Amino acid sequence: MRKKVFFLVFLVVGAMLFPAEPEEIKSSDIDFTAALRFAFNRAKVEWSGGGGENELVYPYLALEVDADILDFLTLGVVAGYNRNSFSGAVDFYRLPLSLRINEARNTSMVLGLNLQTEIVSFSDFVLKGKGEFLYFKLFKNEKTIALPVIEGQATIKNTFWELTVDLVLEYQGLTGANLFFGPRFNLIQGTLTVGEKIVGIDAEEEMKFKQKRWLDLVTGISIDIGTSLELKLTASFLSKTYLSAALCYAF
Amino acid sequence: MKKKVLWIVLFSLVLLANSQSPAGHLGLFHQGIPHRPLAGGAFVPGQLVVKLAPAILGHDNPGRTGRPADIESHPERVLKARYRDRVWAVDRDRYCGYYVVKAAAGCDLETLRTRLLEDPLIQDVSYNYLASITRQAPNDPMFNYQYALSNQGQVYEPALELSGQAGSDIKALDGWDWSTGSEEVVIAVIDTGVALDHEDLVGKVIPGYNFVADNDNPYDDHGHGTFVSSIAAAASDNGLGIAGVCWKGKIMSIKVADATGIAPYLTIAAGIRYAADHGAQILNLSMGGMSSSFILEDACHYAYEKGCVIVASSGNYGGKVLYPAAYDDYCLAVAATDAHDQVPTWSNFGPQVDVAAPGFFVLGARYLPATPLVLNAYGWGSGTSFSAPQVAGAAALLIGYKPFLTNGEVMALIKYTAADINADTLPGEDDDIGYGRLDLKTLLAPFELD
Repeated sequence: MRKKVFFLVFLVVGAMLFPAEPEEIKSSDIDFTAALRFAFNRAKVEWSGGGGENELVYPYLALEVDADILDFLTLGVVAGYNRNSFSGAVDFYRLPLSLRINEARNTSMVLGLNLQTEIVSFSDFVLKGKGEFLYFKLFKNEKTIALPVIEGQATIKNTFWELTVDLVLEYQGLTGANLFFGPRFNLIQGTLTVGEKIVGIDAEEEMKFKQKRWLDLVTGISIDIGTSLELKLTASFLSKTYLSAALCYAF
Repeated sequence: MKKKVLWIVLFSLVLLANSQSPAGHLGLFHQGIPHRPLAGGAFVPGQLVVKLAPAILGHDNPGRTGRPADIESHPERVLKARYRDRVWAVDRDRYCGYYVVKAAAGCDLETLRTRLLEDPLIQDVSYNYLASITRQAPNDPMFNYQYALSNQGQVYEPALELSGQAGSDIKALDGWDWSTGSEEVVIAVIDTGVALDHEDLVGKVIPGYNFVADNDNPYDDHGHGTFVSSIAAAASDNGLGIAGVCWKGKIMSIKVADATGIAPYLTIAAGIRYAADHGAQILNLSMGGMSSSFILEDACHYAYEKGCVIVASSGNYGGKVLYPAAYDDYCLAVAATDAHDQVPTWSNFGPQVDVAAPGFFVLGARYLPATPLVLNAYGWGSGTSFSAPQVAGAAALLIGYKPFLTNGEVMALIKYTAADINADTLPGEDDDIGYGRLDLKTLLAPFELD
């Protein structure tokens, strides 16, 4: 399994470094594309120490700006907001008073970078590679621990990141729409931390989580709207449920 | 330059993709635990299970949107079409034949359930409730008489036909779902000794000391220490006698009181220091004197600094709290309650009282030295002497479950999680029961954050 992942990653990276067509003389103009992306994500995550699993749900809305930094390479910057929650309960036992979080919902920023390249093209098909790193910024949330006589304070903090590497074959033989399909490597890792403060007690527990399944198949369609707009719909369902709609504008 | 930056970015991506999860280094953390009990009425979020009306399968009922054929062949389509504003999916359960309705985000499940129940297509609607494995109740035959551990309103003293009020207990069943203790945890019973061959204490007692006879045979010659020990940590779930609060903890017998039940402070202090020096994490002192003395206070200070949790009974004459219980900085002072969560008039009170536990007609292992034939007997006893070992047992459960806690944290948690049973008349901390009656559920089960 891990070997397959490494192979996929190196294949994409290698293809990015050694494009099928030789690098041409670089133009001084840089092409920009702006996109408004909404993505719904639901992924099964497992906790460290064999401590079971939950689902992490994190829809986000982000603005993406892509720039063709090289003839064969596009760099994208992503920024937006996400709302994340864990399905079911997450228990913290290594605190003096065990705490259970029930579907805590939180909003925080999402920031990211991506690289895209066209590896090779033949006939109406283009093989494309894309790597994206998203960082879901730390949020902090305070809750009251209401005990029979006294009250304490719980602080919940969550942060995680996501790495996605796609290798897709795009069919460009249709007018006004391109279809694409291919393998996807996807990994989420994060940390959920809960602190508790009750009179005379001050403790914190940190739990790491990571995505349970890393390999997926991604599919989608890009639809041209006029000359400068494009609607890109993407979905994957194996390693996580991913549904994305992006409205792109090319400058 | 651009190429260098590109190399760095790509290399970083590869490293990130291949990196081991830091989670692997944190094996101590655990969560999820599928075998834990679930909150009452817990159900699968966002789901309702629908049972169709029997007539549907034999009759066409087009409803508002579905074609007749759909109802027989694809009821899920009809349901989804009818409730599309509130439902995002309807699936047929292939094993039971019911239909699982998945509510749309933000849809109130109870409102949806009410609407579904009004639909002629539907016979019944249920939440997809969650069940957990059956809780641990010990198989000790006299457990039913131990109202202090689990009070269902049962008769707990058949001869006198005494019965209690359901719920007036320390919620032991709920607590045992989370911890039944650890054999590594030692409760020193500083008392009259322990009859270590009592059937419910066999294998539970580790070597201690007899400070009365100055030898290493701390056998009971009174009965009090045996009774106290059994309440704290009798052999439990063994098909014999009673259950202790802490099933797996060990007892260290420290005999400081003679056959009449009297102990000089100096002897008690020696026992406290011995227990602290020989690995006891919890000291139970079901005894007390009316005078304060540096002899006892220094010993308690010593044991506390060594990391011991010290539990002491407040006294039984309705007056001020006895010593060492009254040493507030080092001891948990325990008052008594009864089977109705009332405080007996004889339970000593004062600002030093930290917590209370049932102390009226508490069942324990009985040992009468003069009549060895009744070695394996059981009986009822009243007094804060028998409240204190319940708190000591609770401390042992907590330490067994969370060995990383300090003694101060254990003592604080026992207080803070106690049930404020007299909140109507004396809300908050009070002189009668301190923070409240011991509550193992709140102490051991996770506190649910909204």
